[in-house]
Amino acid sequence: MSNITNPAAWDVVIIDDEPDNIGVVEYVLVFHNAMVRSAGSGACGLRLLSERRPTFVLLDIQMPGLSGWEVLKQIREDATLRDLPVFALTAYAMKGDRERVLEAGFDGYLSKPISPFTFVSDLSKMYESVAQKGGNCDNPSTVLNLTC
Amino acid sequence: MSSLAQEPSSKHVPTLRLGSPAWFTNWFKPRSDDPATFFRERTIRTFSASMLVIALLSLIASLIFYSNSASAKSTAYIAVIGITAAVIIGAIVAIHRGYISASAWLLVSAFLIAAYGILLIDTYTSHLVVPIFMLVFLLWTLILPRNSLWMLLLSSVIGIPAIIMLQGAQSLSIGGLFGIIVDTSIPLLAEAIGLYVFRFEFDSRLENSEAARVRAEAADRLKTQFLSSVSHELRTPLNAIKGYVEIMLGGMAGTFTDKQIQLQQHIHTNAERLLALINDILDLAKIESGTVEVLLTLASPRKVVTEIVESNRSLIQKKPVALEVHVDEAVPETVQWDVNKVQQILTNLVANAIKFTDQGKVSVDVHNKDTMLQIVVSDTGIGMPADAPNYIFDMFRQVDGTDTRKHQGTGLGLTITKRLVDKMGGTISVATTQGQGSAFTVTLPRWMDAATKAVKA
Repeated sequence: MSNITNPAAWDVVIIDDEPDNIGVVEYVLVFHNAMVRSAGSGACGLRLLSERRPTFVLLDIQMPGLSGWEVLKQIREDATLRDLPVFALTAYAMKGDRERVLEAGFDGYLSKPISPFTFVSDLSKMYESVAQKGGNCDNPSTVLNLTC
Repeated sequence: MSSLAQEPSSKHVPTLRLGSPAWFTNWFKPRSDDPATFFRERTIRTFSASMLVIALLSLIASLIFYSNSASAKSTAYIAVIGITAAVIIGAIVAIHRGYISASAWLLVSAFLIAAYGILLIDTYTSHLVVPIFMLVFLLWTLILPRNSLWMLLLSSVIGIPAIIMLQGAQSLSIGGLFGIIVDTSIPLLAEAIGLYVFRFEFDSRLENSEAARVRAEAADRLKTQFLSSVSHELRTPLNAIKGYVEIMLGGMAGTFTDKQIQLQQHIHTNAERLLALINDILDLAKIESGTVEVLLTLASPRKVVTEIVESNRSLIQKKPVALEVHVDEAVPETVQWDVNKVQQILTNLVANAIKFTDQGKVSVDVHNKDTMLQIVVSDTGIGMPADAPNYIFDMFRQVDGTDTRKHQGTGLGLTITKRLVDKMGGTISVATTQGQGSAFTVTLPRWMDAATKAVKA
């Protein structure tokens, strides 16, 4: 298994204002040996990102204070985080929301509620397609080595 | 000509009226949003247009009639009609620019110029004073701002006797003059009071109905907001329950005994049922409050229907049930539909048919029906009692309590389906025989247009 599809090589930041949403996602990722840091607000999430660059970010959209759209905007404006893969993790379940999310610059989209059965495989498929896009050189293992 | 090529033209036919160019019909449409002003504006637009036509016709007629006699009287007539026409044109320009009150005053002035002018020129027209001014008062009541209506009363008491005195001063005695003043003032005063009361009542009713509409809209918005926030609040913990149980069921939290796994499965099933119910209630609330928009796109009915049927095939599980689709050759390749809503309607019907059919087949037939498209979802399932079509589309109604328990469902699926079909300007009906199966027939327009969008579910 390559480092891209191996959850054990992932360093994930989850930003969501619902502790129980974080709880399920975190449990599943930790079960698959991923490294997980979680934040209950957009501001707290940005702080985690500046402390150490993760492999990718799971970002809720509807949050009080800094919304997911604003957090994404700040990530894209930051020179060191600009190419960080950011996946939306939201309860926006309507058709067309997906397009709206991708247009806004998210790298992928997972709708809540997540299914623990398929979450990790969905996520790794999504991350693989982002990592394989030409010109993207952030090999997750390199990132991990650099930060450690 | 293919049936497809006919579609766009048939869509436009009803909006065309003989001999009425768009600018002409548009002229009579008020631009104002406020209902009280709306009514006044329409009256002004109608009155000014017809008055201009009358004034111009009488101008032409009097020019022809008086062309041989250049008397002072004929010149005065032509001058009065000419000035009246000019003031009416001023009123038309004012309303076109959006100055409603200014236009109303100009229009009333035009009437007064015509009336006073004719009365002053010809003494013998004095018997027309009362009818002419009644007409002016009526117009006045309809188009002037309400706070200037007191002038009606004033002019009826002062203006009219004054003009009659001007006319009759030479020939009438004081008693005769007084008689004429009473004769003209009393009916005009009575009419003015009556009209004033009418206008007051009319305006207050408009204001009341407007206030009621605003209140109802606010309540509706509040209801939708409340429902969507409540459903979010309900879904979040429920998703957490479901998620944690799935963690256990997925073997991510150690091993459990068979008994424990069975209980976890019960928790899971019930969480899913509750989620489905919440989603359905939210859907219905959205449709009822009119916040659901119809989004039209070009789509292939063949493709849409086949995809929906195939995506529901897994629901058959191991039952000996055949699932068939038949799309008639004549069905056009392109229709204008809200694909998401058609998908939701068909998914509901097909999933229902599969749910209530233990053996035999479920078939979906698509064919043309006049300018509509008919989709029939029929099954060889348990069917329903003969009276079921009367209530099956009502909220929370399944055929009976035992079925509700055996065939789990929210009882809202068909209600949502019917509301969506209504919203798109279609119809839905059902034919059923107990023990032999049911057939749901959905008829949808092939081309939905702006008129359909306006239909509130």
